[in-house]
Amino acid sequence: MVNIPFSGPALDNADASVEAQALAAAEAQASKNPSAARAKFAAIEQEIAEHAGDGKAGTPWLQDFYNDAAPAVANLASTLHGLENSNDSLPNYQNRFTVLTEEDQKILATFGQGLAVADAAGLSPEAVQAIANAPDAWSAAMLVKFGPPGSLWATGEPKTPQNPDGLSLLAQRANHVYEQ
Amino acid sequence: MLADYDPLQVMMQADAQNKNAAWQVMGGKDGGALAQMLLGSVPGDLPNIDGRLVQGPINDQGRYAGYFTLYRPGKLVPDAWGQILISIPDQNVVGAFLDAATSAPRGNDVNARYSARPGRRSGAGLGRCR
Repeated sequence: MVNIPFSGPALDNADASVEAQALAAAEAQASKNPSAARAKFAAIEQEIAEHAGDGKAGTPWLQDFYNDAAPAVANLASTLHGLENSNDSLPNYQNRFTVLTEEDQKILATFGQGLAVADAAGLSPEAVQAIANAPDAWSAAMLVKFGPPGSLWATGEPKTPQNPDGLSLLAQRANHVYEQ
Repeated sequence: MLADYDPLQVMMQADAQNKNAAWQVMGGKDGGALAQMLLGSVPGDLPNIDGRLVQGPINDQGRYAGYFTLYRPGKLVPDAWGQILISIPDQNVVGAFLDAATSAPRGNDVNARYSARPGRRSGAGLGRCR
């Protein structure tokens, strides 16, 4: 059971948390129920696009969503890639070298756009770490590849014990990719 | 092209567009090694190789994202694994990244410090790479 407030920022926050949980659940079930996972990804993509389109009014929702969903968002590209061959049948040879379908790329573009907006507005240190140091370096980088240009991402993050120099998410991500 | 999905190339391109990120990477602890890799050779590897995209375990039929696991230069690839694709970054991306990384103002402010930390083997002073 989920309690949803009637209105205001609390409603946005609760809604964003519910969608974050839904994303994680959809990823967890993706291999067993690919069609349901795809439908959920598309629904969340639509919601991100709507909030991003709202400008400043939509930014708090995006911040709340990515603060809660960062680990699942970082893993999204790998999940989408895995869906191409998740029905236990042999992969279609013609599509064998398709890394991400056009539909996958569109989903990642929207998730990347929302992440950049939330990053520029300010994410929690935990969310930044979840994206920047994601164990799946390839998957998290795809959010940047299909997202907006680097100039639209934050140029730095608040200084924390884990990030004493306040390096930007993009710089931390590049460092992590190189170190891997 | 698999090279288009190379995560280091993706990040260098975005960092170049951000500039601050490029300064922070090149001025950071891995900046010197990264510059050496982009401009020359990491010991034991061919020049300018930014990693290997390694196919997953045999019979994975391409279904796992591990198919695209990135191995940095010099890191050993498990014997049991299959095809190895050598990844050489797009030199336009490398050039733009190095341009951005060395474009910070000189002086004592924080951006200059990132771009040219005294005593560090960073990308500072490498000049244009085109």
